[in-house]
Amino acid sequence: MNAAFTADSSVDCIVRFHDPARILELTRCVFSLYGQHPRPLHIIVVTQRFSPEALAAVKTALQSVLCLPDAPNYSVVNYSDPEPSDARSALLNLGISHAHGRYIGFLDYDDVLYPEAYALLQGRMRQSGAALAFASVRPMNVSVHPNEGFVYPLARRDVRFEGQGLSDLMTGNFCPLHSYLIDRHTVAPTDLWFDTSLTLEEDYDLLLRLASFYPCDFTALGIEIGDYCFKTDGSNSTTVGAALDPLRASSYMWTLAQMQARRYQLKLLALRQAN
Amino acid sequence: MPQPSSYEPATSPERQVARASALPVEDPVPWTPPGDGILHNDAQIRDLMAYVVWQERRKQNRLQVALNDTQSLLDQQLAQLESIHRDIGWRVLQRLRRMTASMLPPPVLGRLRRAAQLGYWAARGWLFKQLRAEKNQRLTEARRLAQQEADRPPPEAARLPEDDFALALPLPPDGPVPQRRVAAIVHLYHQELAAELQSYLRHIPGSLDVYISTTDEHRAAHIRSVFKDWDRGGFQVRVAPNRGRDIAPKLICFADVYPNYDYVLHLHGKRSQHASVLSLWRQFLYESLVGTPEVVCSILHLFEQQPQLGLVSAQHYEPMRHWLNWGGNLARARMIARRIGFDLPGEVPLLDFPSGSMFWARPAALQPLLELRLRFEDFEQEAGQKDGTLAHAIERLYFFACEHAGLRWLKVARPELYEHTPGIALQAEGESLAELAIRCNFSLLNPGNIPRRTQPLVGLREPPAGLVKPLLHAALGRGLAPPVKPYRVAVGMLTFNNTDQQLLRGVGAVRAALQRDPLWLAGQVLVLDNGSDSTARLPPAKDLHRLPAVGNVGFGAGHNRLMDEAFEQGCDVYVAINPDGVLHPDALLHMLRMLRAHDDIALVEASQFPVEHPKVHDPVTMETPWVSGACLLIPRAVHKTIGGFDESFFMYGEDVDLSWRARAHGIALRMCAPALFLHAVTNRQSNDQTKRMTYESGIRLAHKWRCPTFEDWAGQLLEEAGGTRPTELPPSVPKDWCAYADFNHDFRFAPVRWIAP
Repeated sequence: MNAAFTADSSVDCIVRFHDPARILELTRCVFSLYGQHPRPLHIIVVTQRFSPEALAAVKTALQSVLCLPDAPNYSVVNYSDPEPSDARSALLNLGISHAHGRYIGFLDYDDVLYPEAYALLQGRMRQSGAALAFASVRPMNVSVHPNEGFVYPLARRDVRFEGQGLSDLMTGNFCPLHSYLIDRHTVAPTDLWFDTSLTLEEDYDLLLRLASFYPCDFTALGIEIGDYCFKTDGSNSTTVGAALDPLRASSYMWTLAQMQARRYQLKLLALRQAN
Repeated sequence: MPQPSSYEPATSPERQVARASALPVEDPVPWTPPGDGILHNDAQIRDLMAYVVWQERRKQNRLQVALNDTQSLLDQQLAQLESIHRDIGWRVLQRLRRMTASMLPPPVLGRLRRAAQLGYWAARGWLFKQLRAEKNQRLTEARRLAQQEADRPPPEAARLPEDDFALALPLPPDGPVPQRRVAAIVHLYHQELAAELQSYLRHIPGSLDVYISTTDEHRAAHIRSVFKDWDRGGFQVRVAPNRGRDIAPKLICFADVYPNYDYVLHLHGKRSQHASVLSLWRQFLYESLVGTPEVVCSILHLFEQQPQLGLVSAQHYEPMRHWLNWGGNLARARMIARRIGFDLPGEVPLLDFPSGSMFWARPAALQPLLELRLRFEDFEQEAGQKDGTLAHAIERLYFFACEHAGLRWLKVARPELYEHTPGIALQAEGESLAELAIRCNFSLLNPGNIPRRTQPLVGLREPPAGLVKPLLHAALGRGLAPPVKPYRVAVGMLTFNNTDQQLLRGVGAVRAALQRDPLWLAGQVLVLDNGSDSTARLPPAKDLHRLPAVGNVGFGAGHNRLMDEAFEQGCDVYVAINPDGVLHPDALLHMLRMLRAHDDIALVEASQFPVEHPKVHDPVTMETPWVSGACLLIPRAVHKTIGGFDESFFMYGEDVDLSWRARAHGIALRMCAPALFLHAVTNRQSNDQTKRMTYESGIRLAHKWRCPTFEDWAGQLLEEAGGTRPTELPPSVPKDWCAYADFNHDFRFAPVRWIAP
């Protein structure tokens, strides 16, 4: 253990997993968490209405990686309520309810973090006293070969919007789910929740809320701490660059309207914080 | 000179209409972005939309104005021409010109005009200057025309895909093939493909004589070593000049061989760029012609049952089908055809040919080409030409030559290797093979009115999945049964002042991997300290053996000691791993499977995770230009052939050197994508000492592999970083080996897929 860590550098990482056929990617994701320096690290894999057999398969796969010495603890929590049908926000809330460490981070099952990610973010938060610390992630196009057991990185992907700080965050979300860590000693539990009515931009909604009320550290932007994988088979949880179906498009417009309203409400607060 | 009336009037209605529409007037739409960058209401959105529309119209207007200017210029010139025509003097002299022209024959008139012109130039003292100018003008024009010709897409010459039939293979079993005299005539420039070739040739039943040509004695020696146990028939390697690709060696070098055989198989070691869509073309052709014993038997049955069948090739590889045309080869092909004794029919003859120049044949079908008695000097020097050589022309004439010999040709296809090829014919009920073959065939010399493509096809960007999956599985060793006895593996770890956490995780992960699957694995960990003593943290145990420390001997020397120990103990495999990494529990198993898939002759590296090394590797064959020493499997047989790391490298570059030496010996280099090695290489701060070691290794590598420019460049970098150039350098490798070195990509020594973070 690195002596530079304070006694309480415990981290919970909530891994969202909704497709039992994607265990290969989940094990990669969890293996990348094994490489994180801070301990204790608690990996909370939250599944969406998995059958007992699928849950058993998940546990077996995790055990095969997390049997190593100095491995993080882990638990698998299944979201079983029938509503909402798209439970992406509910999964994260369920994960939060099982978290007990000081820091909390999030990760989708198909993304990975570099070994120094959490140590870097914790260090920045300690230095600045911020409640949230942000870094960058590397967008990558990858092809997944589940039958052959590997993921092939094709090329780096162009980023549409690369923000520099708080005011850019108010304009649009440039911080993927796994690009930040939250200090729960600073953030009130009542503020740490995902809006279950949102099936798009739920993470942005959380960031707008937290960034408006709590100090944020953006000094690690530009340092890449993980990969954000865009898969050639189109299985990303958020479709990027593809046309939305009418229902989803309508929902998306509604979400954007909500975002805009929230920006209005929070902008003054955020700017006050920035000043 | 055309009559004035044939000109389009400058004031034609079309032009007037065009210009009238070129003068739209739009008022500027004022718009300023909101201060906060956010649109707050519908009115702001409407304003923005109006502004965007105005901008677009303004762009259109600018283009239209430019068009109008051009038209005005044209009108002026036309008006000038009209005024010349209306000029009285010109009209008067026109009669004289016409009269002179009618009185004298054109050639005489032409000569008179030329004489008058030359006389005038001579009188003015311009003669030589004008003649030079004329010559330059002619040359420029010739070059322009040649370029125009080269840029023009070649006319379509292939049939429509739906009419382009091939016979589906394998055919239903039809008893054993009678034993005939069969030879494989192969050209292998890339000698490292010898093992792959041999595995395919073993699909041919019965006896088989193998004739391989290559370009130098070094390559020949390697090919002989791979085929040293060939027990199915005769084996010969001949060295031929590197001219005429595979075509010249087969037709010239082995011209004496054909009369001794009933059937010959033409193959060669075709290679395309890594990750190019054609990178699997060779494997596609091998799979199509000798992919399984059933495929081979089917083809031999076709020859047996149809005496008129002269040549069998694979239906075209889908990703190259859109390139099927004469290219820049038609004129040359016509010339060769005439030399053989026939004419190519029509202005642009209908074309089909064994693309890739691999096929089965009766020697009689090749006789017209063999009788040309070509010489190597007839072929161009090798310069990486993609088209327009004699070899390209001959490749397009194989079917024609077969027909000229009075035989037929046929294309075959394994349906699983195609996704977009409609004309694959299955044998209909009651249809004989001869009838089926005729249904799939036509004559190129007498094509009749067979329709052909009018437009180029859209090129496919992906190879067919039916080809990729089996090749990928074969490369990874998927589906292989465990070996009779497990591989004895030694994992060597060279420590250098590592943290407790690194050693705990690193060694623990190795132990977990070694215990993963006892059917494949039996092994131990070997440790040597290059830095501080790690005995307290890694005490000797039943599965952990320590070598006595002798100070920091460097990366290569340290691993060589561990490797020697491992192989002395009888290990089959040594795996070098960095102590700051963590082996995935399944990684060793994946690497051993891949090794077994390559007959234990390969260097196999794990995939560094979570950031894979950016150097290229083929996503199907997993072939890579060099392998990293961070987590590298070295089997005993390879160590015996090429030895260990070069100890003159203290750190960095020794793995590149080992890789290039391996390639020079035809040993496969593979990246095992499913085998993960968690390695913290991101966001590391580079210090001056690391830089100096890198540059110094670059100097050694460049000196050893004969690249003085890189050596000099690395030397400059070293001096700028405060170092001094090493005085003792490793001896250089033989010149033949240098083809495997790559100094064109800085210190990455290979093309990369992205810049590492």
